[in-house]
Amino acid sequence: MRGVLLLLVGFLIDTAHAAEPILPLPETQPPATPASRLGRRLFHDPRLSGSGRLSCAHCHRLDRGGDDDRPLPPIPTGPHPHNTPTVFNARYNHYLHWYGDLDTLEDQARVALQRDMQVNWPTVLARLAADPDYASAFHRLYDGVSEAAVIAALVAFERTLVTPDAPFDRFLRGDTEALTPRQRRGYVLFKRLGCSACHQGVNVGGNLRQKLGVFGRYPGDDPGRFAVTGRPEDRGVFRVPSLRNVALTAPYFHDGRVKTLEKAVALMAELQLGIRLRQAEIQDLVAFLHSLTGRWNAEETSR
Amino acid sequence: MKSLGLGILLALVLGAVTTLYRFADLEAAGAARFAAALTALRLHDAGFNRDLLRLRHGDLTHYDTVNAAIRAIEADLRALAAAADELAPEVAVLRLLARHKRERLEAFKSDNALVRNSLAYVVHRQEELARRHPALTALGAALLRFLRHPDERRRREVTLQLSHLPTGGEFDSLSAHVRLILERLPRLEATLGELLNTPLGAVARRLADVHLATQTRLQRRADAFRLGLYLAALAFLGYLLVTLARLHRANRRLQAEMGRRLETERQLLQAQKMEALGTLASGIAHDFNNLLTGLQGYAVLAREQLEAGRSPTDALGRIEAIVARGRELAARLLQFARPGGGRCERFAPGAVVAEALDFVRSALPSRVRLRFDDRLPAERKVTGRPGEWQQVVINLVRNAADAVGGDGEITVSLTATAEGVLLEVTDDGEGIAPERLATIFEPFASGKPAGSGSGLGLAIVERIVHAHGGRIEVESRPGRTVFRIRFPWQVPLQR
Repeated sequence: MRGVLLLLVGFLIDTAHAAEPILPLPETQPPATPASRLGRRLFHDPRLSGSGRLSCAHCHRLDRGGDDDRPLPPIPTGPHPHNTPTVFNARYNHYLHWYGDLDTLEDQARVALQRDMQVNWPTVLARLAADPDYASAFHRLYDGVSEAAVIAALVAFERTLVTPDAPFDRFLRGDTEALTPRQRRGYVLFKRLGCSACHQGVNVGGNLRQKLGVFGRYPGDDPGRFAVTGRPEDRGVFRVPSLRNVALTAPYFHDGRVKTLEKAVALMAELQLGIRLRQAEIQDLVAFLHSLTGRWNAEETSR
Repeated sequence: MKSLGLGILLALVLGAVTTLYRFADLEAAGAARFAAALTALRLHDAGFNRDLLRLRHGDLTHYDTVNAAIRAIEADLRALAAAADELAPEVAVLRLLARHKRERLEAFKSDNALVRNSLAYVVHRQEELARRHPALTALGAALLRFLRHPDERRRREVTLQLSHLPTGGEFDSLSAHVRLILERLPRLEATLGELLNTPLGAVARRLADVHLATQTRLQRRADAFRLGLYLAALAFLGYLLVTLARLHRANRRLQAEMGRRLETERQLLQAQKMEALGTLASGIAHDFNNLLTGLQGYAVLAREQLEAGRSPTDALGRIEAIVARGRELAARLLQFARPGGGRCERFAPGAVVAEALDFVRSALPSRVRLRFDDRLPAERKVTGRPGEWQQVVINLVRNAADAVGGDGEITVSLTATAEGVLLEVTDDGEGIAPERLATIFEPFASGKPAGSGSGLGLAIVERIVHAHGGRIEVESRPGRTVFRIRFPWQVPLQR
């Protein structure tokens, strides 16, 4: 009898979860592994780049929300340069980059090394093999230094870059006091206005593509996903970015055009929802967005 | 013929075992993995379709589960491709369908997000504004009908209601959202229908049926092999039993045959002995005659002494001695003539050979000299059958006597060697022609004129020598013929 009751309660809790458009992150950071510790070293090592001066962490600054606070990266990244996306919680995105054209972390790492960091693989592998620490770690974990092993170690590290324990996650787990009244109002508004139609799931986005500018035109000449597919209906279509830690990742949008969260929220409402928000509504929404900032302990990745 | 049948049987058993082993090794693991991956794929596809409907309905409000499902389906397809090669074309079809689904899912997500977004907005605003503007009630009702059946007629109805709305501000936003719903909802419905009708699950089910049928066929083949193996083993066993029975029968026949042969040989030996006795008969009769002559002489002497009144004690003593010698002679004759080779016993060869020579001596022509040269130590004994030894000696001496004709010398000698006793019978007769030497031990190869013997003498000698584990050889030239027989000290165990 009690079992049935528990099952029923469990079912109710489960459906309550399902009814929410946003899902909580796991409650703790993933533990470090030998591979992730090796990846952490590589992530911070400028020897991976062709110039020998750029590391992954150069743009994905782990002390600055996983991006570089600049509108655009200081290096050439293709015909349509994009604002650096955060590396935090990237493992929960269905696809990566602003066009959503990369399916796996491995693909992303390979493209970033090749295109952005101008890696010269034979040189880099020789450099790494010459370093006794690297050589022994690679031999222990991957049977030697290779391109695939470097990528695998980097991905292992990226998989530990998760920011649990955001106030909003505690709220989702039943702690109503975790949000301020303004943040709670902001969340209700977020759902009612329709923001959560796109910004949903565990990463509050990152799992579908959408046209930027449904009810208006976004400035600039970025063709969007059209650049990848060449299909007219993909013009202006971008991956919906994750809103986790959004308060830390200014400036905003693919071109880093918008400097503050308030302006970004107002612009989104105008272009995507076709409405002009009142100042109080913007403040409520921004307050809610601040509740999506999680914790990340750098020490846990090196432990 | 028999070994050919056995070979075929063995080849059958081996073939069945090998095929069965290879079949089990190759098929089972891959087939199980394939079936598991196919089941997983069907489950993931069903979950995917269910979540699409929940998303469309608004019951599910995020896209993480459909994204996870499409990734799981792709992982299942990789597992399928790795598990079985022979169904690769079918798996390729599944992969195409999955790719199509993944692509259409993107359109579904974008449109569904927009439609749900606009719906959320419209429902919220309509509720707020309808109190002030009754025209919105009619719009709400028309939109509701359109949501249920997004066809052209209902679309025009909503458009008509939109034209009744005031312009500016909130109303512009509202009508923009309604127009978006009008535009995107039919497309969303079409995309959803396309996704649900993509026959990934149906093709997977058909593939599962095909796979099951293949499995069943393979299983049946395995059963047939097992049955074949069983039958072959049975046949093998039966063949073994028949062979054993045949062997048993053949063995019994052989033993009976051997018994008959032994008996025949024994009879032959006896008959030849009697024949030898026959040829000795005149000599023996001569001996007895001498004894009787002696007896008569002493009897006459005893009578004369009695009539002369003297005591015949001396003559009677002589008579007793002669009778004793006669009894001894008779006993020895009986001993020799006794049927059967007799049991093996230990005896001194010198005495036995001397006795045989005594028999034969009286039957020899008077000018034939018989010498016996016994060089064995007196106490040295051999095991064997003494009667057969005597038969050997008598036969060889008789042959030698024939060879020397009426006048000559025969020497019989016994010598000790490391292995046993060497018995030599030497004569100075005419010798054996070289072309006859090879066949003299064969029955009826007698060199003597017909009627003078059975022709078995030397054949019997050879049999006896072999039965004692000995060897016989002959060396002959005119003027000297030697038969050498080497008897071992012990008769080997097999006899």
